[in-house]
Amino acid sequence: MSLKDIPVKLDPGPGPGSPETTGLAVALLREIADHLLAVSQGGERQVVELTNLPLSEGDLQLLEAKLGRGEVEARINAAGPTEVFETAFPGVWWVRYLGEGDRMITQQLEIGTVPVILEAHEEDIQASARRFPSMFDELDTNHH
Amino acid sequence: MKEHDLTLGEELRRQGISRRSFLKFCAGVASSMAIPAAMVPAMADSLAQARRQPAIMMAYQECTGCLESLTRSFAPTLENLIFNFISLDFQHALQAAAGDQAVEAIKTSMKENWGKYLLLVDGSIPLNDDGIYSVSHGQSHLDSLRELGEGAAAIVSIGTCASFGGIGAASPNPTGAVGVDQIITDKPILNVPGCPPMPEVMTGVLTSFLAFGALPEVDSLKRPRAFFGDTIHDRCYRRTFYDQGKFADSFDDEGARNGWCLYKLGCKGPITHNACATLKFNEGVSWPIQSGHGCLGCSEPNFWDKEGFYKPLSAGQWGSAEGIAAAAAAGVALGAVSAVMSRRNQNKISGGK
Repeated sequence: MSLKDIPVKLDPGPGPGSPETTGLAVALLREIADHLLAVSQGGERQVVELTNLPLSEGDLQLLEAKLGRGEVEARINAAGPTEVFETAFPGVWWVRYLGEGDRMITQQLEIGTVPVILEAHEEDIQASARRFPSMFDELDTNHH
Repeated sequence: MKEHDLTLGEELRRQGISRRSFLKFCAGVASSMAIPAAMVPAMADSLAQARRQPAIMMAYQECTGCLESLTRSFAPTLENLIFNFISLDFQHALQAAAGDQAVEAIKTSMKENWGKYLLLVDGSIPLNDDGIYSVSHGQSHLDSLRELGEGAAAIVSIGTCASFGGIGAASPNPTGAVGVDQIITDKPILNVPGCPPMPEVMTGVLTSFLAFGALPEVDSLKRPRAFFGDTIHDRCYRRTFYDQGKFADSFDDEGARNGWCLYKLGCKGPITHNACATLKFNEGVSWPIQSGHGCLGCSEPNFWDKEGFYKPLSAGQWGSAEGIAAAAAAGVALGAVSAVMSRRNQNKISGGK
């Protein structure tokens, strides 16, 4: 008998999980409704962290189905990929922070005008404004 | 301008690392520490204003397993950022310098950063015979710890040996090995036990120290609550089998093949506080229970001497199938309670959000 004869079954670990919903998804939808109302009245941006909640696969599917897809989809390349999409409800965004091999680091629902990770940030804009004029030096050198 | 004079934000910009990368790093850390996600931009701002943190990492009576773990973290691109946040002035296995030059690096860093440096320790410290059983460069590790501890802003004990004595202190403990906090008593000390500890915990601890200027909230064993607040059992994906009374009775039976609960095979999950069940090891590939082996309880004091790895926790008190069935029934009720407790604990950490 060789090693190959021993049947090996891999435990996928906390895999797809149960297709049943736990009631948490509905509770979350109510929370999002509250946040959205507050933001629509000029309130501060709100973030709901999904990774730490004991959501079942069924819960996540229900959330995705109810929230739907909107007009915006974006992929950001900064310290690995990040996926952002707007849900069918403008102002409610789904943000997935991914690591190597698209492994999930954390995912959040962000309620506001635009997810913070998508904005160009003040410090980066300042740095690019400083960098931009060097383009003209190159252009000048090429022309003369 | 010297490296230490730049803020982290300035330094990262100089290296072409965008604010988005910085925010993403903070989002990852905040998520693992149960810090409210809405606080991430504020955390990033605060971190951007911080200066590079000088750190000295000492290896005492240890096996280098902790360092192996720390250099294999879960999201390499993100984790690399942490190296921009600290100035690791001494780590004997990672640095090029050796001998007198290396010792000189410790002295220089101590002098320049007296009262400000973070001291990271792995390995236990022998006390017997003036600590002669563990010596580097002619100095006992006991003397080394006392000297370095005096000028440290805070100390982080990495791994179970530095935290509680660990393997070195296992019976009959011939060297009289102890953890750091049994020698230094007048400094803030944080224990990050585990054999090995989880790299994400180190990242979280270092980041929160830089962003908030203090070590995170700890439990009675000085472990950060955010990572050690729940037991392995609370968060185990096989917990449902425990609640249903479905157990593996040996490592090759039907129960083991079906991935049932390993309680009867000696799993120490119910009394072990750590975050393996959610964070996992080796870039999230797996963790002991997912590999089909019970938890050894490696993040708890004296884990090596506790009864034996394959003896069920209940063996001492019940020792019968009926007893285990009773424990399983109690487990259902306890499971519900501990779920509520975990939630409450997280609410406390996140200020009710």
